[in-house]
Amino acid sequence: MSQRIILPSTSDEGVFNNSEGYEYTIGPKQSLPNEASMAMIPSRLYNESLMFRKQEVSLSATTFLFQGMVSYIHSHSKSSTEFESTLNEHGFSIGSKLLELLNLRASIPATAHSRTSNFLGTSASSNNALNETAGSATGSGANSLGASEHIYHNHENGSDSIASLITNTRSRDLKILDMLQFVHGTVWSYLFGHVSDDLVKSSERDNEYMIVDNRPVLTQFIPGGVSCDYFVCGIIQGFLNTAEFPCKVSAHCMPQNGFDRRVVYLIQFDKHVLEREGLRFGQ
Amino acid sequence: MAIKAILVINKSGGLVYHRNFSNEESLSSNDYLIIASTLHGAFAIASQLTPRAVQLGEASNAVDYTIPYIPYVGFPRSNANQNEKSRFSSNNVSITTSLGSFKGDDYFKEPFQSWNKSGIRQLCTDQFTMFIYQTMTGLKFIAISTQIPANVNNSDYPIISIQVADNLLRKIYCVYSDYVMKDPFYSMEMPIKSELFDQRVRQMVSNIA
Amino acid sequence: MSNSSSMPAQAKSLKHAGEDIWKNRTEKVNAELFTLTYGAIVSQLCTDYERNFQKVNEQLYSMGYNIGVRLIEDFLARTALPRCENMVSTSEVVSKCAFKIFLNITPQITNWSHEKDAFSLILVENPLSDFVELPMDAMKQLWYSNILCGVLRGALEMVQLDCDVWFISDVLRGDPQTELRIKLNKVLKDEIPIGED
Repeated sequence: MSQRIILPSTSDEGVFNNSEGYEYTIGPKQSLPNEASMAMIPSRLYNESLMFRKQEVSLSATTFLFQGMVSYIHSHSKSSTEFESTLNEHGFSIGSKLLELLNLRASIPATAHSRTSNFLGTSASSNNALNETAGSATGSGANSLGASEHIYHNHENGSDSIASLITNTRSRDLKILDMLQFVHGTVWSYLFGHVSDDLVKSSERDNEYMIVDNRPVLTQFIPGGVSCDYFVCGIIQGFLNTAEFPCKVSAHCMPQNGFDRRVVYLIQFDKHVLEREGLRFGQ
Repeated sequence: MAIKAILVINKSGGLVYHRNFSNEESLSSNDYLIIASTLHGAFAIASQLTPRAVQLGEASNAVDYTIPYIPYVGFPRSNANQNEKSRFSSNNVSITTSLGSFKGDDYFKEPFQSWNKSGIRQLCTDQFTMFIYQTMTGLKFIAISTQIPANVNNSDYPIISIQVADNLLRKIYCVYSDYVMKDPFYSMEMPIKSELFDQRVRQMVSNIA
Repeated sequence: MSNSSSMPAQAKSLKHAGEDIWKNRTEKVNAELFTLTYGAIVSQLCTDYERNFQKVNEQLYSMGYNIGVRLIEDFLARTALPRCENMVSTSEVVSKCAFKIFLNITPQITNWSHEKDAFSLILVENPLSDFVELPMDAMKQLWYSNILCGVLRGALEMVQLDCDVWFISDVLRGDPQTELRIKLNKVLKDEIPIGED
């Protein structure tokens, strides 16, 4: 009965061989649940990247890498505008990946395996309740610390797929506020280990929101101005744009209470996002 | 104020940072530059003289370059006792207790070896005392403190011992590794302009009572 | 102090020091932020240099070099380790302390040259290349983690060790293991800070 789904990327026999790489215009081939019985070894990428293994590197390594990236871009930019937009692009590519990744991870049921406690699994259900997002995301961050790392021993040879465990995909957020709560809570704790310090709606303009970070992880050692924070602007923008919430994101330096590197990310949604929300949810 | 000035000299003898803490009239920037290169030279000359002096003085292996760890040098006094919790409390003690990429309530907690074995480590005059901490890469971190008086029994007098100075200077090295080395806009060997670095050095020094 | 102690004992204490500093003295972040950031860098370079992977390798190396000359200060401030007497102890410090403290991995040291001036590090794990699969055109030319070579080169040069560092193989290219080679050219004696001896 089972039908083979033929994907463009898997229909080429040559691509089946793992050691030859993939054609970059097409991308790596997927490992679907029904490929399990085939005599080929599917790419483990999709499978492995879905599971959250609580791994860490030092803050130093990460900030040095960031430093290296920034100085490379800086020396190759002709203006500060070009510098900021290039940094933004780097972040954008990450943000747009996170949309799918974090949504899928939030969809893997925590009970799927006896000793399984995967990242965000616990917060997936409560995340829908708007007000709890911050709390639950913090909780999930803490939970994942003790999470058992190997959900997937038996899947590593590609004999099964993690995707088969997902019975219900976490429904995608459709409201602006839900979307922002996800960024403020889930995305932030995934990237930086804590929820952002505040999520504020502008009192002056309908389409403006602010995410506040008192101590930005990547730029905490960089003095003067916020141009380097455009990397994180790009992540937010990539995430929201890919979710069809087109917006512009800018960074603003606003020290407070001794947080001398406190950054406010200003998110300005396109007007039609508000119009859509008005039509759909009638406000 | 026990510390009168902090200097950082790069490996070629160029002054990259100086901060004056005393109320006395400050030297001009040019004077500081001259001091830095003079020190760099004097340090090298002294190093040539030292081995013989050491040989004459003691048996060959007797010199111990271990610096004891002195807890919470450069931290507020209250911090030494209730050192936990403060890191993420949002109000009064925020950045003051952030150790950047260093975890815990102090930058390090072990005794350590001095890399500076034959150069000047301490220079006493009747005006001031100077301490020099040199790194394996050739950087010099220098603290100038008020002089140690002849009668060191008076415990009220703010005296900095060489152990305290070495602990302090290694911590400034730690701060340098965060706020100078991880700053993409800093050019190697050049003067340090980062206000974040400056702030943290001043904070640390102000806590040396 | 380290003069008289036997090698295994010294290696063991380095291992302990590395683990202790990683655990107690080092702030950490999610490794995926690191992986994703590096991925963004490499893919941007591939675009910038129009998939001329030789150029990308060079650029990654030079970016790494600029990081290495700075990163060494962090390492020294954090560890305050004494100078290594030979390449054997250097290899131990690199693997058990440096890799451990920065990336939480401990590459295996192997393939010593006869003169004991060159060795290999086998990277079983590599947080730079997690979740990475190379496209066909890059498989034979791109050294995806080449930034590491630059970092090591730069960092070692700052402690007066002039070394060549390069990748011999990489699992991403279909090789059985990821092997990184470090070869000492010479000790830059003239540049050892005066006052250390």
